[in-house]
Amino acid sequence: MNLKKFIIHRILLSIVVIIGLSIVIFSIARIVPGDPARMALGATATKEALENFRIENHLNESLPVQYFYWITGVLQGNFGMSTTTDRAVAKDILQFLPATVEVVFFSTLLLIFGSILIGKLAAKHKDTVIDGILRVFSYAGVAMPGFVVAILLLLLFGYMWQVIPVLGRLSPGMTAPAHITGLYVLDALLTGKFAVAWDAFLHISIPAVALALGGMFQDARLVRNAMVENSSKDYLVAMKGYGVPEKVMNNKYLLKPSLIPAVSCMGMDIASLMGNAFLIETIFSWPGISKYGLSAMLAKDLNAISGVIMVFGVVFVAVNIIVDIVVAYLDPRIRLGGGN
Amino acid sequence: MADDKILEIKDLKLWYKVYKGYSKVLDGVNIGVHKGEKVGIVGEAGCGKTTTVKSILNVIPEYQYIIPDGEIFYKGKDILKMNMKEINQVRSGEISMIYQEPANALNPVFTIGQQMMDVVNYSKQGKGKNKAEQKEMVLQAIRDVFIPDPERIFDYYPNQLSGGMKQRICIAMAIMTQRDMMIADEPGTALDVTIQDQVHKTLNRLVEERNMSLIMITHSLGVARELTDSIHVMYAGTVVESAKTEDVFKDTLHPYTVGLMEAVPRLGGGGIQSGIYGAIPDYQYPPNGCRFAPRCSRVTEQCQNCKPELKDVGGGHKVACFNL
Repeated sequence: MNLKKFIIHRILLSIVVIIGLSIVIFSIARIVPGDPARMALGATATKEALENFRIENHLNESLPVQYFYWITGVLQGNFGMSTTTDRAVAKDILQFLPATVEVVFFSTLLLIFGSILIGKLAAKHKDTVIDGILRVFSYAGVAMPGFVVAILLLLLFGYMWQVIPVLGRLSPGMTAPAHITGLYVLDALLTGKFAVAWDAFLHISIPAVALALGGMFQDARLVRNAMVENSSKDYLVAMKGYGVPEKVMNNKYLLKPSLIPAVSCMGMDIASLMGNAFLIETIFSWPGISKYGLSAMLAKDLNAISGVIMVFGVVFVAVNIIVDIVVAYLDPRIRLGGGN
Repeated sequence: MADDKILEIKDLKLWYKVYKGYSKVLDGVNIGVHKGEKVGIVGEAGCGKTTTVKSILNVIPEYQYIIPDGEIFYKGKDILKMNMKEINQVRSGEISMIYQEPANALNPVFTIGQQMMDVVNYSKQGKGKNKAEQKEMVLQAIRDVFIPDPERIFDYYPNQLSGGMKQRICIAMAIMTQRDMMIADEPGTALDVTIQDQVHKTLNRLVEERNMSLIMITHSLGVARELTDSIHVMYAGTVVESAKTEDVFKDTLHPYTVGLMEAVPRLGGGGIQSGIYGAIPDYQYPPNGCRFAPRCSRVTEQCQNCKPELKDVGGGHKVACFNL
């Protein structure tokens, strides 16, 4: 009954978080050593050129004044100009973001459904060989950084077996589908080019798996442990005692309470997928926003850095709101706050 | 005599799997229940009462235990040898159980209504009825345990109810459909005494109205005396004394039962009573002979080495002790 109130409360709270975030991002980007004017214009630039650049970009003003200039632009959708690409940062983001969103989307699906299915499987076969194998995988998944998995998959599928294309978003010779959303699979499906959609999907599959794997096994572990723990709780024993079929019990009465601890963790994992994507994007030469952000950082391209991190921040906050809502849906104790 | 027993537990042994070995909790439990009889199982915490009744419905998760020996006959059929379909028939239509902790016996993330509807939906009596009829059964059951405004309670989550309400909902679940037998595992223990008394009265009335057999687990001899026809006293996984309720109180024989009786605080003073010295044995390495021997005042050498059988000492009063 209070779900609406709960959601509004969360959204208001997150606006405060985003304002705070913007201040932190802005300050850090400018505190990091290195002269942005010199980085932008190169070693041969004259003193006058550097000074002009600083004045143009308000770099001589105090930080609060600079922030004011920046945030008024951001609120109008203007993140400033990138000094590396010489284009508006907003335009760059719009170009690179869909590629990352596409990978992250498939990773998210894999992370959610993979971890629940694996967790259920492991819980069902508790303390057997299957559980043991899955346990090894989950420890390996937690211990191995995503880029190691990425390189292994790249070697196996792209080099040794050559079954799945691994570099870029499309095979050479394929033309990109008309730009509708920027998500190739979706665009190709919408325009009816199924071969292109399939090719794009194959290109996404390996990066998406590499990105999701660690978190997936970790969350599967959480689901498994919660299911094992809850399976001896009296409320399940009671349901069993009333002759409720095992399938209903496992998929309804056991699964729902067991998802609560995993969902919070999944939310963090999903939110970090975007940030973690930059290594994967570098390895698979994927033209995504993380890669763009990384090159901006190396060039101390202030507007691009702030813009990219701002996007990450908003995504992170948004995912957290969604997770909070899902947890509240799953767990009435949070939604209703106990008592009457 | 043996023929009209609706339930008979014969020499049941149940061992829980623990790290490096077994915890030998039940060591030969013998309990019989006649049709319409109200049976009490009494004993201190950890003596295997709950394990015994849970094994009647075979609801302990399989990976946790083994049953090396024993039989549980329900209407002439051994429950332990039943297949999934047969045991589910017993669970869904014949025996119902009220679990010890009402706070844990209701799923925290589903409403009372959702849970009760599923219980009805998969019960022998509610199967095949339409949703409205099933819902009426649920609401009637909630009314039967004296909860006002069942429609509102139907949409509540367990955490919105008080302890006493939860306990009543648990009872409502157990009495929703007509059953032959009810197992009540310490109903009301988690509640304060006035609510406990109401819960017991409600339970007793329903059992009598519907002519059900009742197995009632309790710590309290007073409750057992009030509500039961016969009593089985359990100690450390064995039944040490079983008799008609009045015989147990009139003619207490087993030293453990004697100790239990002495431990009951009485109106009129004396302060806290003596109780029984010591604690229940380690189930992983239980004593060889009588399991009560380490705490018993009448212990002899025979008790250390041999296990006493449950023997009839006259009039159906059975005791497992060498030194009466």
